[in-house]
Amino acid sequence: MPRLPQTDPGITPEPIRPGIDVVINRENFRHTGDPSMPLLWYLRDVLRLTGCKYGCDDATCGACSVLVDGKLARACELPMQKLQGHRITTVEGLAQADGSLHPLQQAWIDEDAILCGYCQPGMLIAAVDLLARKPDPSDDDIDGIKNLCRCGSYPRVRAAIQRAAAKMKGAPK
Amino acid sequence: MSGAHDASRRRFLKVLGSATGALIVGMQLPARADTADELLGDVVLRLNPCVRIEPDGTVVIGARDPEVGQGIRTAQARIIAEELDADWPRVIVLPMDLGAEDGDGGPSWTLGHQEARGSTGVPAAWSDLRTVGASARELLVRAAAQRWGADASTLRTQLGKVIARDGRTLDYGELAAEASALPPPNVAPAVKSPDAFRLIGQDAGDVDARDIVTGRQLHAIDQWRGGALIAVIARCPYPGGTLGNLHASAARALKGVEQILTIPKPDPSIPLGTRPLAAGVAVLANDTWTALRARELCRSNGHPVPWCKVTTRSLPRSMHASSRRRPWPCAMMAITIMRANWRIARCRRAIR
Repeated sequence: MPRLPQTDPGITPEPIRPGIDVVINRENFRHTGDPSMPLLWYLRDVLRLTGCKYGCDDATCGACSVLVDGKLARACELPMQKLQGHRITTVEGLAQADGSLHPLQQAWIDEDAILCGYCQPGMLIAAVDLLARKPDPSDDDIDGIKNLCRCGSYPRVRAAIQRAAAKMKGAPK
Repeated sequence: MSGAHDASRRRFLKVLGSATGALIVGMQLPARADTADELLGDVVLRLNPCVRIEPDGTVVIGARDPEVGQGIRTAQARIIAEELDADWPRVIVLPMDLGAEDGDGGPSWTLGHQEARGSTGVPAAWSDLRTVGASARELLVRAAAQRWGADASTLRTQLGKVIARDGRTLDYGELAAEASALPPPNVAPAVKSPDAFRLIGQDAGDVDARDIVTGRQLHAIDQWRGGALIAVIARCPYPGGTLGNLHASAARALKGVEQILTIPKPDPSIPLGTRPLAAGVAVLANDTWTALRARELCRSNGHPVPWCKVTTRSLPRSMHASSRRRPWPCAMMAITIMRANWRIARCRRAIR
């Protein structure tokens, strides 16, 4: 495609808008709105990545869990101004680009750890974080995940994490 | 390519063919048993409950009731699939639109019951769904009989195929176009006896599982119609309280705030369900964060009402005070509360 001449009189190039640069699910974004906006609302209202759920708005329930540089964080109380240059992973970024699921996502389906599903994106993110720290978690380690589920999916979530851990142990790094 | 027959006294069976050669079978409420022209317009959405068999053998089932975690989309689809003898891995479940319109003195359903309430989803849909599944199956069997010049009673169905006595098989997809041209059954076809069920009563994974684990499932809060504003409400914390002087200039000045509305004190003459919960302020903004911040900036001095002195702490105090006057009923109440707390604690231990 031919490049537009720099001095085309009819076109005024838009000035570069200052903003906060973040990498979300391996893609670059620039937030140009209110710097105090929490990551949760940037994901949901601006990018429409609605897998990150609004629950308690108090960093208690874990429905908005995301990974920031691979570490577990609550998006509801993480203002965008703290995130310049950071890499964020949401539930939408767990699967491969070709659609093949993360072992935890597959284990969730296999164990039918679903119910209404509202808390499950946050549960999955917390489980990814757990397995990164402890590839062979005990039931107590899993119970250390304090995400809340009002349907009571905890026993199936525990089974799903154990299933995924067993599968990932055998997989090549 | 369409016809209406009185499958039961309340429902009409509809059979249609699509331009791409699919077979579509559904039920329709008598009030909307319209002409074929009207039906063909928006065919899938106007039929309910409905099943569509594509020429490639894919079975598309419309889920009419709202999913709120009870698994109704899976359950209702499997009832149709059961009677149809569909091959479950080739079934796709799609939500149907909400069919509600202004009727006499209130909204009325155009597609039948579409509610999640009181465990009524499956019972309300049970016979309709089975009739639709069985009718589609019968049409496919008759289409196969016509193709083979065989007697339909000698054919059986299994996993999305019609099977002849001599072992020949035809996939449902190959029969869909022919079946859609057949007249629908005059009487509702026989449904299976429960001991022949292969899907009903068996465990099934949730049809929405993949969408849920990839974050694509749209819950109510995730719905977005382009251009819609976000509204948040601050309600008067006291039952029966009113809104005093509202100071909203700081909130209005916030970039992205579109409108600030007041909600009056509930009028007791308005029936419950349509009556506002409490007096309040609604902030409408372009995004949720702005709406929440603007709500924090709204100030109102509510008028005190008798209930404003009631708090979580004052309630037990008033119970103890009345227990001195009427000890026996209050003691019973205290025992009930203790037992309930104990059962909750036991459930928590069992779950975690």
